[in-house]
Amino acid sequence: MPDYLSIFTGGLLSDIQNRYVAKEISALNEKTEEYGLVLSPDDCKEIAESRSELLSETERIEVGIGAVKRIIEEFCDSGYISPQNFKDVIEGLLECFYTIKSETFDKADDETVISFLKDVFENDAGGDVSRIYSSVAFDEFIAFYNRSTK
Amino acid sequence: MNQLQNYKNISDITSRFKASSTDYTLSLLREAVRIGVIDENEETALKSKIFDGLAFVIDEFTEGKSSSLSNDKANELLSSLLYNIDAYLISLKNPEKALEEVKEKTVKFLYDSGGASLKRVMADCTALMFKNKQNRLPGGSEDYNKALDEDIRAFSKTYSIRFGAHRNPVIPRYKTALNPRGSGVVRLKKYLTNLLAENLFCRCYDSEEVKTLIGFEMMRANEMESNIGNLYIPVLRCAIICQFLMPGNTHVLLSEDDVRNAEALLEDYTPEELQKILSSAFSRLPSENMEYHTKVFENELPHLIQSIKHNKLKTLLAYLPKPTV
Repeated sequence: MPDYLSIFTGGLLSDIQNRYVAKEISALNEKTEEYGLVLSPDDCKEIAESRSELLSETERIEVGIGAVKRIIEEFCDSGYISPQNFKDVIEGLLECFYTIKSETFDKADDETVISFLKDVFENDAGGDVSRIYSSVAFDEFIAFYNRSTK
Repeated sequence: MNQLQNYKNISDITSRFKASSTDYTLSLLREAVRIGVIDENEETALKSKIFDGLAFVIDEFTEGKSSSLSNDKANELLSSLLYNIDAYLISLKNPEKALEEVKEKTVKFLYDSGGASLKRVMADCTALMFKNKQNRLPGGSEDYNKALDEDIRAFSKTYSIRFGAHRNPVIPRYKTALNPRGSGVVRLKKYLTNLLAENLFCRCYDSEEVKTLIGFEMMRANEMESNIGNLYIPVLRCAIICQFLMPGNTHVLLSEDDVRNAEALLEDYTPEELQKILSSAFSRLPSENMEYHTKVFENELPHLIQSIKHNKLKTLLAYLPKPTV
């Protein structure tokens, strides 16, 4: 089977897709600003680029901004997120999200993964994204999906 | 009038830039850039539009549960999407109109329309399968019968137009004289079309003669401890020699003496003369779909000439051996 992805995701097309994603993220400010959270155009661009890198690292494809959008919508009301750490938290959560999706071989659906991340972020990790990775729950969540469908 | 209108056949476009014969849409865009109908920015925008269309295929495939997929799975779905779009654009039989459709219609429309075209191809396959069974060769080999009774049905059951349209059918172990090209259900249709041409050719002759001929061919294969391959080629070879020996006859079964006679009559001719003689005999064969048989004959001709020149026609033909006392 030819590698069509490389035809559709390389070079100029990749730039177009990143610009589109950044624009869509920017549109979410309308919703998040009621929590005092606004992403600057540069923030949106950086999230779009880091999303693209994460997808590449986890060998995944996403068309549109499904995961970023849902993560921003779900986490914008968190008491742990401030205008200062908003961008970094979103990027950290995206990394957790795509890692779980890959390591569970897509058996865990988007909403379940996001609910799980929210729960760990608010409770076990105390608002520290880096602690989600090191939590026991993170490993157990992945193991559960891989075990339950063997 | 733009230069795309100069293309009369789909293959005119796919042969120029193709990675495979199924890459019609990509070849069309590339060629449109080459001749200046669109520029590279427009090509990129159209590719981006097609890629965005992958979103709803992923959504449909995951039943809305995932917005992303592994590269492998995404590539698989993208291949299926392109295969469907190719099917629709090819069905328009007009590259210029096809380009307009890519520009103006939504990817979902192109995808769904391609799916409808492929469903029609599937229906054609069912009809071809039925005709092939109606014209089944008497005394066919195990592989031949398995192809008709099991292999093709198995493909139809597992084939997914939406998510795996590009996947190649497992072409049965029984091979037709010409290998069908392409992929997906289009390839299966070509296989069944080839098979029907072969079956109908053999049905032009007395079924008992064909059965006997195939029986001898199978015996020969057994003696050589090899599997019997295609059943139509030995019938075609014998039919040509029969036509040469007795122009206008409707037989296909040769005796050992017939083969000796043919060898004796032909041995002094040059390869060029043999080509003319055998082509003349071939042209008298009673069959429809001569385009297919001509292609096979062109492949067979060098073998026939070689065997005549080396007095080995016997090794190439199935014939009735002389009864032994």
